[in-house]
Amino acid sequence: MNKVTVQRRYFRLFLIILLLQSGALMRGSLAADFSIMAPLAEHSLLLDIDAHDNRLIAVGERGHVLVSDNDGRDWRQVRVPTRATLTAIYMLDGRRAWAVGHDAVILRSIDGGDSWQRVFHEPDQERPLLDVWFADEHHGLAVGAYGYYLESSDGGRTWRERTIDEEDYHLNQLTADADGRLFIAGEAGHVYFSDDDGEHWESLPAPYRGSFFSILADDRHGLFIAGLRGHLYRSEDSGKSWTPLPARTSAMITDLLEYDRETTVIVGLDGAVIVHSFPDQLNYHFQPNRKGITAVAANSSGELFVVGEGGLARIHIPELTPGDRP
Amino acid sequence: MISGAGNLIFSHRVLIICLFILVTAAMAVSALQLKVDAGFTKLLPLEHEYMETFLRYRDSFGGANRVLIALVDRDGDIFNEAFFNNLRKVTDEVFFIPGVNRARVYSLFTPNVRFTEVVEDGIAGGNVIPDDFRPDSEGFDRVRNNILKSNYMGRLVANDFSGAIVSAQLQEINPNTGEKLDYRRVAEQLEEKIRDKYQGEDLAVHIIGFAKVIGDISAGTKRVIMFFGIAFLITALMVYIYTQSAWLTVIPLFCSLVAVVWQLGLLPLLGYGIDPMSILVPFLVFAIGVSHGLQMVSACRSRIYLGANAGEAARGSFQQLLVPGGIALISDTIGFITILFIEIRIIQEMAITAALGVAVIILTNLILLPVLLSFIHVDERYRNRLFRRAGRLRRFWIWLSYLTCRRKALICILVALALLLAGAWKAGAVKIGDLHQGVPELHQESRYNIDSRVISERFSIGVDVISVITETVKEGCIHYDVMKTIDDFHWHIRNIPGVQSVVSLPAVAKRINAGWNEGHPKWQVLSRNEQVLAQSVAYVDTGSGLLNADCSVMPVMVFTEDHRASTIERIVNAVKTYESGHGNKRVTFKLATGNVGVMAATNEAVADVQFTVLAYVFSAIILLCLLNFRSVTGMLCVVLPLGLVSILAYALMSLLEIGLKVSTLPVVALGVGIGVDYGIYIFNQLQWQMFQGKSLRQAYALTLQMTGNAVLFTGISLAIGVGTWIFSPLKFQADMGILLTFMFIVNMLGAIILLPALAAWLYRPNTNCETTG
Repeated sequence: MNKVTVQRRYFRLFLIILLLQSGALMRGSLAADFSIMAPLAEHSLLLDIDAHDNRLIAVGERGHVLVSDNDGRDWRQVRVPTRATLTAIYMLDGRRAWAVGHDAVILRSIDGGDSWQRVFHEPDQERPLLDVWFADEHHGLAVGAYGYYLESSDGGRTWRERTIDEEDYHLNQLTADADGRLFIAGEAGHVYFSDDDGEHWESLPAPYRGSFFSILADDRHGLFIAGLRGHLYRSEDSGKSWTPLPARTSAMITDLLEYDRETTVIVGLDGAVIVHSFPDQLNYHFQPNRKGITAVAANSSGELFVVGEGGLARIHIPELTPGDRP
Repeated sequence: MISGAGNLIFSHRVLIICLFILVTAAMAVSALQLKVDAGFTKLLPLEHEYMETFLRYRDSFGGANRVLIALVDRDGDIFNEAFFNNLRKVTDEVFFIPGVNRARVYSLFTPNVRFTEVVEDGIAGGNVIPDDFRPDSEGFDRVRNNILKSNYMGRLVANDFSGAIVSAQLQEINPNTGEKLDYRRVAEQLEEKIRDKYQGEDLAVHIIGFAKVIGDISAGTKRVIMFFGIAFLITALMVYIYTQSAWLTVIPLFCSLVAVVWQLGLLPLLGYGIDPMSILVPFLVFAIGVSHGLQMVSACRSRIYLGANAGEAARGSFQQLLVPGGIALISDTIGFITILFIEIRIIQEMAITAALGVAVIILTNLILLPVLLSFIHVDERYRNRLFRRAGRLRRFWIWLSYLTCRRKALICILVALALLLAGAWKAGAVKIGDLHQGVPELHQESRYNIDSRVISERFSIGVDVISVITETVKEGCIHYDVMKTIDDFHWHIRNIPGVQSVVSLPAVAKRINAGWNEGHPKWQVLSRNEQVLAQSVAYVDTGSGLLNADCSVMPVMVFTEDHRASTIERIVNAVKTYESGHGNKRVTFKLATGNVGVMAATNEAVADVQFTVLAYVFSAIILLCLLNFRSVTGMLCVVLPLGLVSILAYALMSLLEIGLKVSTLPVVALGVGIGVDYGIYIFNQLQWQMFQGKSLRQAYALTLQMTGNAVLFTGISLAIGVGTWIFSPLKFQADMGILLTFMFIVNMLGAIILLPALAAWLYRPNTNCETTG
């Protein structure tokens, strides 16, 4: 097998060149382009999904936002003030939600996703935002490529940029545990940790030098982290030491979901749906169409919804019987 | 004047025959130069705006001349040793098919089929079937994983792992010899070397591609000649049954064949070849020739029956039929010429050659035929036979003549009206274009169309594509706004019902961009940065058909679920609306290439002229009938049944789901030509008998005995002959066969039943109908 190694570093060079330019290019288009209603939006590339109460929201390419207010039985596309590809959605409760994406766009909703307001937008940056998280209705964080790190203390109306690591690695996913400690899964084996609501960050030792795309802090089973080429690890000591888990896939693992107190659901790009139950019992359910899955969520009765290259789908996993969740 | 012409002709009989022999010999020599000329551009409406785009970009982007060979495991799983052995052998065979570009053969076993995967420090790749592959469960697992990592799922491997494809690109011109590739040979070799050898109990072989279509159509065309022969034999047999005389059978058939020889001889002189599509024309000329020939024979026979000798009979018939026959043939000619309005070369060729052929019939069947008839010997035995049969048939003719009684006529007219209403209702539903899946020239159940259906079901490969050509600035593919405009268009069209999938450069660029970013779908976007965008398109080569050398032209390939006219129209309208709303100076969306693009243009061309053609045909006929009969009544009696038949023909097409297209539109127009012959002969005789002072019913009874039986007979025998075409392997010939059979029969019924019924109500009857005559 021959290998081709590609240097990715010179992206940063472009970035610097671009930052030096005055950024006049896109300034003219400050007026928001609204997303276009499309009959096939449900089948377009969708990148993230979240659920709260009976509401589910999925986001994806071309500013597609899909909302269900009956636990995922019916979905409708809603019009939002961007056409940029949205990469992540976070629902604080049944009403407050934030979505982020390319062009460093941040959208905010206070009516459960029915209407959206564009609160941030920096296309000149040429850095996408990749995840968003809110501690409460005031304090929130958004992370993205090349160390992009934004925080808000007014519920997302305004945002401040900060640097948490001089090495500007991609910050791929952000999570918090039950005690409010924060974790970020990053590029090239970087994992960051903060126990003061993001004031200070420190690096955790990583078991792998490839990129991590998902991180989950589960109060019972500890910390899960997953990324490139099916790499999946669990730590019982807040990231000091890691145990590898066999994912039986060589494709990227993209998302982790704390399904219930016993169970974690792991999804990946070759249609992998893996169910982890305590203690380290893994069951594998590759979806027959093998379409890449980028995120997973469960509705209030425990039914699983995945999004990805095939759009939105409800999937049935035999050992997860909906309805008996705590 | 007519008797003068008769004197001139019949006093120089030998000279005339010699002249005909000379010309026929010359035409036969010329006809031998005739080449089969199945040109593709002839089928295109070249004047149509889409075709301008098509011709401009055909060479750059039309070169997707691929052959796909799908091997399907009958147990539904390719991961077994036998299947892999066969796949490797078939791949090896494909390299030796003539015309195959060996660098562009793709199969799991060719070294150009690779997978890539993202690893910690970049991208790694390898052959899907590794060098150290062993056909055991471990080896198969590895191959299965490599296929999943590769881009070839659905393209080279069935979506359910039940089959695999060997894809080969053909070179139209052999680069070493400069010779043009013989598609028929390619098709034959694919059958011999691959299907015949490998298809078996465990393996099914399916082959599609343009070369295979041409091969199958050519094989079908050979059978077309056979069907022509069958139709000829059936007609000959029927004519013999009718005339009861060998000479009277041979002479009209011979004269009609002379007309065909002339028509075929004229083709090379005009620079035309013969095309599978226009194979209809020689037969049509023959049919019209037989129809007029039988009129002449019938007229002649009536005179013999009444005691004349052959010479007198022939000359009398000539004088009687020259004018009505001439008028009928001239209206046919004019009718055919009007088809020239359809600006598709093949149809124009058909129009010119059919018009010439019919004009030739005036010479062969109105002059040569009576001259030849004057030489035959009539004996008493034959006359007796005629007497006996006339006695038998007379009662039938008398019975039919009561159709001219007003009450019976009214019933006929009411039935016709009911048919008209029902027909008009159905005819309104006639569709333009092709209504079924698969290659329209071949039957739906032909092997090719079954193969194509299997392949599109198991693989993610579409066979119906309309490419929208995006014209933009030089290096357009590295400008974000250009790429974004195309990408928005891509998504807009993808959402139109009937679109199965869309392939465009921005879509590919987005995937490549994700590839540069560890393969995460979150990076499937177009970068606003020129250099990054350039990096996303740099590895897409022009062979993909998605861009030209300086990426100023980028086709968007729209694969459609089918090629029904309604689907095509919906997509075409969506493109036009989008272009008018979103096109700008930098980006324009132009229709269209691809097989569906051609259909779109053809459908529009056919839709534009379908009423014009019929309007001109009918105007010509109305004018000539008025001139000939000098009576509006006469014109109506002939034209109204024709109108009804045209509407019923449309209704039939709608019932049988035959679309109005290049191969069927001329048939409807030509069918009117056949009907007008019947009408003019019958009405001419009827009018003449009434001038002699006969009542309408008596006149009609006599007309039936002289002219009507020939009409009845011609209609039936030609219908039976052409009816055999329904079994043709070529769909368009079968469609033509159905329509022509219908036209022959229904025109005949219209002339024999509806014409007198109309006459009964349009004329004031001068005697009581019920007296027997």
